[in-house]
Amino acid sequence: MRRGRRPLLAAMPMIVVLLLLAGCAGKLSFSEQLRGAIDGTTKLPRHFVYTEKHAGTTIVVNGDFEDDLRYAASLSIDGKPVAAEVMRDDARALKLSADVINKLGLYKNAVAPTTPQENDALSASDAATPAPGTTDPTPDPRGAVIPPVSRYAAQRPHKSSLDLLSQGFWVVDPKGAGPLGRLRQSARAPQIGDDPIADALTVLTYVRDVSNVGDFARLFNSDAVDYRPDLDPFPPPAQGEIRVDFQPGGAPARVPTATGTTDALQNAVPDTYYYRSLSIYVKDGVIQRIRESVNVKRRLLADPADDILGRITDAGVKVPDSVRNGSIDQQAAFVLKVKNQFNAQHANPLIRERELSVDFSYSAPPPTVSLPVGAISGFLGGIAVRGEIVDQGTVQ
Amino acid sequence: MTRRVGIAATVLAALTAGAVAESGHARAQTSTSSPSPTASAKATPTPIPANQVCAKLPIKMPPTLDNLPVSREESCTDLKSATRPAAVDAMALYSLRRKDSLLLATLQISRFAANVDASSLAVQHSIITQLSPTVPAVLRVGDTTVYHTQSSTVTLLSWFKGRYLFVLAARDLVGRPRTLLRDALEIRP
Repeated sequence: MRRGRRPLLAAMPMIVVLLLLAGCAGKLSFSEQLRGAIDGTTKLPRHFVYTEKHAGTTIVVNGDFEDDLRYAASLSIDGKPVAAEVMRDDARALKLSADVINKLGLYKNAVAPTTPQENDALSASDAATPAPGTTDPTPDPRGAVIPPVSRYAAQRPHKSSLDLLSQGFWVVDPKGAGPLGRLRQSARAPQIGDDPIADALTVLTYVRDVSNVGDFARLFNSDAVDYRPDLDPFPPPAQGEIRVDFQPGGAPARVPTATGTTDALQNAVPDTYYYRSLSIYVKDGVIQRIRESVNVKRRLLADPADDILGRITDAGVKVPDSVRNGSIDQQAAFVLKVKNQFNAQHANPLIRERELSVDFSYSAPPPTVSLPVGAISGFLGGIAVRGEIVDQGTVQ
Repeated sequence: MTRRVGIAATVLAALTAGAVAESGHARAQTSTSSPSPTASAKATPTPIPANQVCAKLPIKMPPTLDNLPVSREESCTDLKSATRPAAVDAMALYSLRRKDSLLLATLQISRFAANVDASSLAVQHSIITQLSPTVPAVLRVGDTTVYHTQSSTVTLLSWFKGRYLFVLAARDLVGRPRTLLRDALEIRP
């Protein structure tokens, strides 16, 4: 009898905390409170470290936000510096490894202006009208106006700037931020991992998007009846912090093969939400840390009754015996491959297995962003231009 | 220096003047018709006739913004024809031109009437959303929240400072829009 009462007794302090929080916050849900914390955090100058482990690779982005027009970020992969960027109002400084320049194929479209006039013609301020010798993006088939920043992004890089970058120099362009505005969306939606610096700069938008999907945020409570320790790879909050969790969602209803459409049968194979644990640590209304784990194997182990391989069979994909009778690692790899094929067919975001940690710090005095000393002046149009991409809010 | 407003300046100013006056007016009307403790607007005093909005603003403007000379424009032309009371009690329009007189940007500064609570986010958003058909992005620049909207060739950057609304309308020809914005943010009412 006493044993049966223990969970309730253990839960009492947390119940009191929940009641207090509910009282303090009126009737705000935890999703709404989290969005408030995101808004509060985006207003603060901050330092961040974004670390993503994916497919045996460790990606680290280190950076400072002074405000939305002044920020700096440096990217390393497996400890090797790859790229660094400083935005200070209209100026942009860039440093890229030769590997990245080759990977992006930047030399392929490079031009070598020979006169100052040609240089001037390619300046950012003239991006409103395509300059001679530059590439105008394909007109939007829907008839939409192409934002000037998209034209700027599509300009051809200068060979001289690429040469400097290849030699390891910082290159600074006084107007390198280009026209204000967001890039026109390309036909292929950007995937997490395409541009780790952009991922790091917009991680709060990513969390906001997750919280906007539905009211699924919960306060961490290891005594809650629906708490799943097998789906929680993260540490509890430190003293003075609260932890807001998005535990993985349940599997969608299984669809009868006799009546289900191809899309319905494919959608019955769960997407990222099913494999994702996401926790946000908040202190004094400001986000301190973000932890995310997207792990197919963990979920297959935790909920074998959901029969994901069976759902894949329902969707018309043969599961080889070597997978069905194979290890859980083989099964997880197969599930990931098949679901991502489905997602690619529908131009949906792919599942990206990863372990993500983002740590924010708020120093006094707050960080300020300066252009790198010794940077060489050059034109940076057409070289990994992103437009305005930081964690901006919108007027609802 | 005050000069007659040009066609381009009229277009840029018209983007904002009507929206500001109308939205504030609507807000004031709402608050008088359904008083509520949560209403954003304060008690409504006697409305100010629209044609009296052209009072001088007590603002000391810098001679240049990002090295572009600042000139005062005649801004009352449109408002004089308005028939409804305006939510602003003073307004000024400034232009920034290239050496060849080509208009690059305008800066409109409006002071809200005492009955409009310009510090209310609801009021701010109701005004901002009327400035452009697109959903504004929110930028934090220094300590200021700047609302950013874009049409095909004009970028609108708006921010509130006390009773004042600043609207910087910049053509795509502006070479350093962020520096221009940063300079304009330094203007103190």
